[in-house]
Amino acid sequence: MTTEAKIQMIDITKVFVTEEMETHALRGVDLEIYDGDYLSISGPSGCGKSSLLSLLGLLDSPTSGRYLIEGKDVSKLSINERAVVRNQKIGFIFQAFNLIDELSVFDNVALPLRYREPALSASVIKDKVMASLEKVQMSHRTSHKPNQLSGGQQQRIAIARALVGDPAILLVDEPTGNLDSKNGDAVMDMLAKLTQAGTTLCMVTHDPRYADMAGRRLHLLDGRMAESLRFQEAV
Amino acid sequence: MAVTNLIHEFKLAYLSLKRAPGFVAIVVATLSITLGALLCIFNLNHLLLTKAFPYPDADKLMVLDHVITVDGVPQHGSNSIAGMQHLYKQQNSLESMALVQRDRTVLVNHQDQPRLSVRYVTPEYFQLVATPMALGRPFSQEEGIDSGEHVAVMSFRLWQEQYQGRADIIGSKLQLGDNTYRVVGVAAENFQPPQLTDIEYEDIWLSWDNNPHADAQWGMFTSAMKAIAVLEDGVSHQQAQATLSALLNDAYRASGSTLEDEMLSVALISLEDAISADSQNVALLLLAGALALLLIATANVTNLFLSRAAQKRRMLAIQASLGARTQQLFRALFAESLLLCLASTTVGLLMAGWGFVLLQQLAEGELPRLHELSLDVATLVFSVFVALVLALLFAWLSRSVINFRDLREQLQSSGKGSGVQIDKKVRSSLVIAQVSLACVLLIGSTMVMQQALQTIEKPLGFNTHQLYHLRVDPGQEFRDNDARAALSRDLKSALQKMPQVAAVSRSIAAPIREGRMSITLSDENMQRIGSFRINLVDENYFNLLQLPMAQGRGFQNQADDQSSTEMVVSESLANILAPEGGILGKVFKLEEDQPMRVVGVVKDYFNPGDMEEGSAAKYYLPHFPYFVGFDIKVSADSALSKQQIMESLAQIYPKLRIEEFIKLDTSYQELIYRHKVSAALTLGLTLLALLLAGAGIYGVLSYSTQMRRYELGIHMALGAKTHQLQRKIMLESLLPVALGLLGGLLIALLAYGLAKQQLSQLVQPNVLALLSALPLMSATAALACYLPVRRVIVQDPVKALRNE
Ligand SMILES: Nc1ncnc2c1ncn2[C@@H]1O[C@H](COP(=O)(O)OP(=O)(O)OP(=O)(O)O)[C@@H](O)[C@H]1O
Ligand SMILES: [Mg+2]
Repeated sequence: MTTEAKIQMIDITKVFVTEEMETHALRGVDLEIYDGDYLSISGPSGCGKSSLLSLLGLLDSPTSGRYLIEGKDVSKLSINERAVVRNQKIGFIFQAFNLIDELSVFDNVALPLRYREPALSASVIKDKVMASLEKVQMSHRTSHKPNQLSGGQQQRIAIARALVGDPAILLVDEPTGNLDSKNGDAVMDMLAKLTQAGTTLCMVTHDPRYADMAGRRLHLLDGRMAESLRFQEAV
Repeated sequence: MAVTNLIHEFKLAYLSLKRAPGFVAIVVATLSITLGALLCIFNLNHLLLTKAFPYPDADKLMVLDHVITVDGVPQHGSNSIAGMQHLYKQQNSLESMALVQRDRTVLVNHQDQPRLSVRYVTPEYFQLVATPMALGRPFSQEEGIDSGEHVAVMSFRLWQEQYQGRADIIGSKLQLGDNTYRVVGVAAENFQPPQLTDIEYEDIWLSWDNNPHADAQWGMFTSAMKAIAVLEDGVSHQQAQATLSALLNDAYRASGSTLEDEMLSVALISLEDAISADSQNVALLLLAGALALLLIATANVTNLFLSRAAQKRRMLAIQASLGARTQQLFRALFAESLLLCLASTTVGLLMAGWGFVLLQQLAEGELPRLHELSLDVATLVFSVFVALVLALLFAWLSRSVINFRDLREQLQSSGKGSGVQIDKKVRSSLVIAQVSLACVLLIGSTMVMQQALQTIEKPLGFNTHQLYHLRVDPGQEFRDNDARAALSRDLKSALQKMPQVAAVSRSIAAPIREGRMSITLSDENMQRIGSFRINLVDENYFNLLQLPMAQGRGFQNQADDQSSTEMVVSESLANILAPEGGILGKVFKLEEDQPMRVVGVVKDYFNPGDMEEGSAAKYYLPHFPYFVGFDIKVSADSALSKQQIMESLAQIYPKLRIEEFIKLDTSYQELIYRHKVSAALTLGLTLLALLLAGAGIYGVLSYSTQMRRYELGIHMALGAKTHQLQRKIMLESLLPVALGLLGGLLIALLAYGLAKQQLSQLVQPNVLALLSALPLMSATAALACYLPVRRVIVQDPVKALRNE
């Protein structure tokens, strides 16, 4: 905890303004994530988990507050600068897998690399994609289309895609939400293995069993952060 | 039960549409403009191709024409006046025959002395076309040829405009030219005379006697002479033609004015062929254009309906899962599309009404029967039919967005997933169709527009300011040439004495005017060179117009001398007659014994009323009073009126009548008016084509981008930059655009190849237009591609992922 935080959020708020009302999804969240952290965020529905993850992943902009990645302020970046940060520093794993149906498994995984500038050579891309697919044991299905795979397999492809660019952090939103318990367990095992190998990971989950697997457990309540202890969960 | 259901369905549809005013506005605007155009053109086609003339037994009415066959080559279009009268008196294969002869005459005993479009007719005319009367009666049988009766039937418009619809017009005397006529009737307002000789308004019908052309020689042929007839019962078309031909030819030969191998015969043509046949191709061409426009609009509106269906997809899926049958869902969709299509058709019918007015203005004198354009039953039926077909199409396509076999997927997808419901091929085809059709429209309209603009901007080569042209009808008093020549000299000096007048020149035709006068010119050895425009002018003419001489000189005072053998040619003609130069002094001939020596070359000028190629090749001969005409220049800041001229001339020749008095500025404006309208119209059409294509592409792409926004969100989440996504999508969507451009080009070329004959009168192929149409189209297409994508990708990716 003495080393500098890899990711630092300071007094982040997020307000959604619609015609009828203002929703305060996040109210002054402070968060630090360190290299090698395995972090889980849980809380009741609507407490702001997905909103926080979107901000962490630069998918959305905070209403106020500062956000630093590896010491660099990213809250004021342009759309394209943010794209570069997402591409190089962040790996996403979504509940709904979010693979692109028209593309093969290989091309889905290769997507983040294809957005690199200057462009990577085909052989480099191939090596990285295959290595990444190897990690999730899917290197034998490279030419399939996503809809020819089971849900568990699809999520593994999504993990491979998140890993392929060597991100600083993996952001995971309800990774097992669309899976049965057997497939869910397998995916969680895989994530656990990755963290053991040193990957920094931040995961949103409803499931207390999976939250428990994390080294650090955060609790969100009505847009506010409470770093929780195991016994509080049990209450 | 079914009816109340239906009403309920329409009520629901109405309420649902009320909540989507933007959708309704775009659909109705797009459809009504194009339907308006289509209905207008449909009506024109109906009129010219299928609709019966508004006369009883119109299908039995025949136009009787003469065919002169010289050396075995038949020539149509002109009829012998004497021959027609002979047939009229002698024939017995026709149940009824009426003669019609066109003329122009000045209405002398009216203070404005208007020049009227006159038809000399025999009494049968009014029976054959069943002239409805507003007042009085048509000619009786006793008022025919050789009756000595001089009676007139007036048109409704003439009665209203010149006589304020006075009832005492019946029995009153009109002085027309040298003759006096008694008015016996006024035709009803809705009378549509058959446009036998010209497409123009007919002011008055006069009894045959006094027709100044009635005693014309056998050899005098004119297109102003026509006859209509109905066959005798039991006589076949061929029999009648044969008998009449024999009757005509025998008399023609007996007249002694025939050449050895010349033969005259009769052709009986149906009224429709005689009047409408020439215009049918133009009408069909317009119909093709209107249909293309409707196709584009339909493609556009289809997209809008599909987007709307896609939005409603979940709702429809829920309804289906609750047990709604596909039929029931279809009915709801159909109620909506039918409401929209009927609304569009109603507005479209209004627009068609305006279209009629526009068409009447634009094609005045070009297309027959235009004043019969109206929203008739056929047009109404057609419009309801089109509305129904479109409504069914839109409802069916909207319904097809739902996959009823896999409702689960529809319910779960909730807009997530890639959600591409409409086949990519279908979308691409829509874009290709859009672009190619709009491209054809654009190419066509830019070409027409460029031509019109060229005409509008083309300098005349002389200044029309302060210039007038006057033509005097000398009447019977001045029949021989010497008398006319003396008259024209007298009038010239009378005009010169008027205080406003700066200069006067005699010339038989106004320098700019509709129409042309050409005479064949031969070389010294009577080898025909060609037929060229001609004017007969006096020594002041070139000075008055300030047309500079390029070589030699103009005419001198002896121009009056009828034995003068000088001629002046325009530069264009000089280039034709003597391409190597040295034109001065050369001799050319109009007739064997009429050699003319070129004394000068004058600069060309442009007559916007005569756009034919080679119209600048013109020659001038010394003035000879075929017509007693003058070009008058007034001094700066003064003006001349017909009334002033009348007063001034009345002092020396009280009986003179003014046939024509025009201000050249006005005349010029009138001549280019049509080009201006056509430029404005094509500009409108160009913008419409661009707008429709743009809106169409935008519709397709915003729909598909909308459907793909989740996918785009994923790309963005994975770090794709704006320009990378832009390039990706633009490349995908520009391919069909490029194919569309290519297709449009091919169709345009093909259409031109197929309809070259008809088209070459309207447009000349113009590479410049082509080159300017393509980038315009591409730019519009690119913008239409760019905007929908832009909307999605310049926001935070979470918005796309959440499908906001
Ligand atoms: N785009 C938006 N517009 C308006 N309100 C929003 C928007 N996105 C989220 N919210 C609101 O913000 C709050 C937090 O939403 P968020 O999606 O972060 O919750 P969550 O913790 O992920 O819930 P769940 O566990 O159900 O997924 C909710 O009250 C939600 O209604
Ligand atoms: Mg959530």
